[in-house]
Amino acid sequence: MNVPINKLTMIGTGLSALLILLAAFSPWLAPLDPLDQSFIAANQGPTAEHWFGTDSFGRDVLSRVLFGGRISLAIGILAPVLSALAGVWAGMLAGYLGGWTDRVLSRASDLLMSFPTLLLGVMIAAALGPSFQSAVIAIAVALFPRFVRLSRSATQVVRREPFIDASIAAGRGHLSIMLHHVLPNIAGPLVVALSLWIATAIRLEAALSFLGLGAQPPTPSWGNMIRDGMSDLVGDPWPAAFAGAAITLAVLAFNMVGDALRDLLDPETAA
Amino acid sequence: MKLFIHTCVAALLLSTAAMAESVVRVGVSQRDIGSMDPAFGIGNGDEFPMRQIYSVLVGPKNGTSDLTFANLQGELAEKWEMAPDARSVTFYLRKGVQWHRGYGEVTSDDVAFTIARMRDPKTGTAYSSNFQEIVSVETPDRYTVKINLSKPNPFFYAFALMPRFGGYIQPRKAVEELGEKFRQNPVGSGPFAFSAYESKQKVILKAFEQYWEGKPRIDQLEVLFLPETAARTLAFVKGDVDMIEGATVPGWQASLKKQKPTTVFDAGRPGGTWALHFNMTRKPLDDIRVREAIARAIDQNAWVAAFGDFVTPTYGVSPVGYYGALDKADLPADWPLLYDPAKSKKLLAEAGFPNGLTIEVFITEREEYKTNLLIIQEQLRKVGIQINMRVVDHTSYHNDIRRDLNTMVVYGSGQPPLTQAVLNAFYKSSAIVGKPTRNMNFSHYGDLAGNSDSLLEQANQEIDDTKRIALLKQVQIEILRQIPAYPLPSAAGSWMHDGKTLEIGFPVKAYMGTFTLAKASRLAP
Amino acid sequence: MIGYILRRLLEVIPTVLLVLTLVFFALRIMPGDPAIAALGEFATPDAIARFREKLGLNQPLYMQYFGFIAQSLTADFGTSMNNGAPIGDLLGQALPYTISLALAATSIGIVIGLPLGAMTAVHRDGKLDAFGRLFALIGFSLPDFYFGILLLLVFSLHLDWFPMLGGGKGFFDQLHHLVLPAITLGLVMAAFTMRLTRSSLLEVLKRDYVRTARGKGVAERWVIFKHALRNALIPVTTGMGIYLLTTLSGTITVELVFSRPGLGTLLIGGVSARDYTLVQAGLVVFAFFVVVVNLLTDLLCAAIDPRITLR
Repeated sequence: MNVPINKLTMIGTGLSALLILLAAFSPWLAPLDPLDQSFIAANQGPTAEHWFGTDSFGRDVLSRVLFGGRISLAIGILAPVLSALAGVWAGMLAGYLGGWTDRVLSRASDLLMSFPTLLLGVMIAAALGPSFQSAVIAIAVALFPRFVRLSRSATQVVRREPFIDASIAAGRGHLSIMLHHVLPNIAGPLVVALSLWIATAIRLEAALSFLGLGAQPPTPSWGNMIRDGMSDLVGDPWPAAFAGAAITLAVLAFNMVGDALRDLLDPETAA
Repeated sequence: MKLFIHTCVAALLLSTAAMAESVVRVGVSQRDIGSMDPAFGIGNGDEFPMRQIYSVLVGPKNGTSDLTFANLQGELAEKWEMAPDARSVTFYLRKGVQWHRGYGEVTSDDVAFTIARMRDPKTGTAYSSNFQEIVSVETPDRYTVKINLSKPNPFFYAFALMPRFGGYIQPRKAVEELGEKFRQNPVGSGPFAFSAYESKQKVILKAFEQYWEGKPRIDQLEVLFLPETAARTLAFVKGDVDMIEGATVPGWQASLKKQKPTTVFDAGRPGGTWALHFNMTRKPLDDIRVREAIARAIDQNAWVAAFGDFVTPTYGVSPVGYYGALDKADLPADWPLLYDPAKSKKLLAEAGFPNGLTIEVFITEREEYKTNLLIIQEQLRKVGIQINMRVVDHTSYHNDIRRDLNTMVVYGSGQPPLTQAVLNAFYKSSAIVGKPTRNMNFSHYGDLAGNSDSLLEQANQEIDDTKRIALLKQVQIEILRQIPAYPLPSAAGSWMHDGKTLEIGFPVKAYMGTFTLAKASRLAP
Repeated sequence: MIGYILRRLLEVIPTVLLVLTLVFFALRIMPGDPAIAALGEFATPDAIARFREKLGLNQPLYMQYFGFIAQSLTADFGTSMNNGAPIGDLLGQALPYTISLALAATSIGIVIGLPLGAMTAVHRDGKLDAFGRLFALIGFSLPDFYFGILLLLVFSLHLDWFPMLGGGKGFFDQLHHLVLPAITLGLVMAAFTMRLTRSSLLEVLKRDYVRTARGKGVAERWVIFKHALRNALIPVTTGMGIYLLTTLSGTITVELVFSRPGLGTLLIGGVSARDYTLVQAGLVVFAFFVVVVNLLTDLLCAAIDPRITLR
């Protein structure tokens, strides 16, 4: 292992941790109530009082960015984790058992893959009514087939290893084998994928909120702040700019963690 | 780079001689055309092009919303008269007015056909109820139409025959010939004829050579569908469009004015009817003390602070400026809708909510609705009422509020500027949501908290103007004392055009869909 | 070969049928229907009932479903439930814009990503490598709609180099309109291609035969490098095939930001108007794209590496 990996890991992990902490402690960190309207102080650029300026309702943008992080990161982390819990098992079953199980699960995930991710989100959100939960479900469903594919192909490789057959011969149950032999062997690429897909999920959340389908107003999320900011982009670009910067930073941080993890697992191709 | 690209484009444009024509582009906030058939058109994106394509018999004077009978301006009709008992109106048509695309002359038969078509429930138009009072239409000759009503209604024409709300006269031959295709290939007699349509992009209209007032000065009118406020604003600031439908975002107009000083704001007044309707079948809104507590917590000045003079406070069920509207001076001394947060908290405590309460409300994604509820939400929060807001798409909203599913309904409507229209739609017992005859009575007033049907009917039929206005005011006070709804400030129709490139031809004080651009001209390339 | 393609295309039918079924029911779960969306606020219950009858929405659901499937099998998309326009025309107008955008973005991805990826792999750990990796990270992290807005503000509003609205008329005008949206989507594509090329090339370069060649001299190294690149291209092609689908999905937000016509604009509008027929047809087209892209990817891989046989 060489120095650049450590550096990247440290920066990425540090940045991710910092953002999560900022979001978690936003009620104590935010200088003002993110919902407090004040039309006299609306559409101000950054000032000494409002570091990130105010939006068209006169709400403090810094406070909204901090609170928005709670929603955006919560959805961004929760959805892929839920998706991984379901998808990894489905993929392992498909890869391990093969046959009909494999065919049905693969066809189902191919089917889901053939929907454009965003449109799937739009339809789920419209059917369930847009909310925090629908956003989580929509993103989890969208990522599900990707976890299935990944864990399926990784399992197929492990399945061919002699020790699996040895375990079967020794009379161990399939579930036990999958849990004790398959899962630990495919965990590496899955953890990498998880951190990269957290980054994807944050972007997706932003896109869904941008289309008006994520967390509901007045609760800020980074995506809906950009959406609201879009209305007056010429006059007051600050809310959209800061929210966009926050999304970029968060996605960057998780991508860096993912990259670093990947390099750890596969030092040959690493920098 | 810039020069090169521009040269390419310019060369291309020149080669098709598009530069020679004067083109005006208008950005509307709708996603796509719904229909250009007057029986089915809804919303500004349909109304704007339809107004240019079709004509009405009579309409309000160019750029105004004045519906007083004596002040109307003739279009297809050159003369008109109402019987003293207000049970019939006769129109004398202008001779030689032509339909687009060679469909011949506009005659009394077309008028009779239009009324029969709009009235027929089989047509399936949403506006058919406006025509139900008509018992017969007589066409003694090619240019005379007499409309007979079942009961006196001195404002019948204001519901059925005005621009918007389905009042455009349609050609019998074209409607019968084109059938289902008519809605995408409209034929009218207005200043601009339909030319082309690109899905989700634009509708292109061309000046009608034989328009009865003379060929319009603009050769081509393009109506662009730009649902995103940002895109619409940026395009306007950049000069890609000459006129846009505005946005209901606080501070938006001020910042637009700063970005583009040549902007002319065409405030359509009186504005739309906005109210917060309380579903009185739901606890705790069945308690008048809770309703008053909400009303007392709302300060209409917040809207004025946010939007400036684009909004005006509303006192009765209809905005100031509507026929028969309540003004501040009309309000009794003990009026329960006046801002008083201390009283609000006291009422809440009396009603058994000393620590406040939470109300679940859903709202449409439309900016203007959401902005209203966001302001209300913040004001109620200060007295301890928490509004949990869920945003749904506009179609779901329309669907679900009519199924009586919401607790509080924010609703904005572009009614004809008559208080009767608002009362009929929102406060009559037959209009209660959930009933087969339902309209937009979301509060259940009429079945709950009181009933003003007979007083309202009396006002509808009253021929004497002074008495009618007195009756309308009396009904409103009777209704609003029960607080079935809280009237919200009225926002003017928010349209704007670039004063440097476009001249409308007269001062605009009305909604954009109520007058034509027949007199408009393009000032600069 | 032709038999293979035909068989692959036949396999599409069950997938498309499943997509159709899923879409059919998903659309009908949403509150509201085309009648409510089309008739607006003044609609009476009577008018809504009539409109539904005209569209056949009053029939039992299973009748609607089988009617719809039968119609789909004859490739008859019908007319828009919202405004009666023929769906075929609507798709015909929109598709060229979406396809050109996806292809342009992919081209940008290849033109920037492939050489950058190859160079960073060869000069591993150098300055170029650092730059390339940073580029990829940023490309991956900038949300496409945000990047699009930034481009729009700078290059369209302030510098006035590119138009702001629509898709353009005629070849040059369309190209002019395509630039900013294509760059918006192309950035992610380039980042993706660069990273994929780099890692798969590194993977190949560590193999024994390449190591040996490295020791021998420039000429042979060059030959092997060419060989290595060829091998590395297979995962890149597969990966890009998959990513092209993500790009297709990305056209939705980009079309929105640039007010550009296309499938995304059509579908988003369709969902909000509950235009069942339009959304159904649009999604079938999307599903078809997915299948075709997967097929092309496999064919391309076989063309690059003769050892891959098509079964």
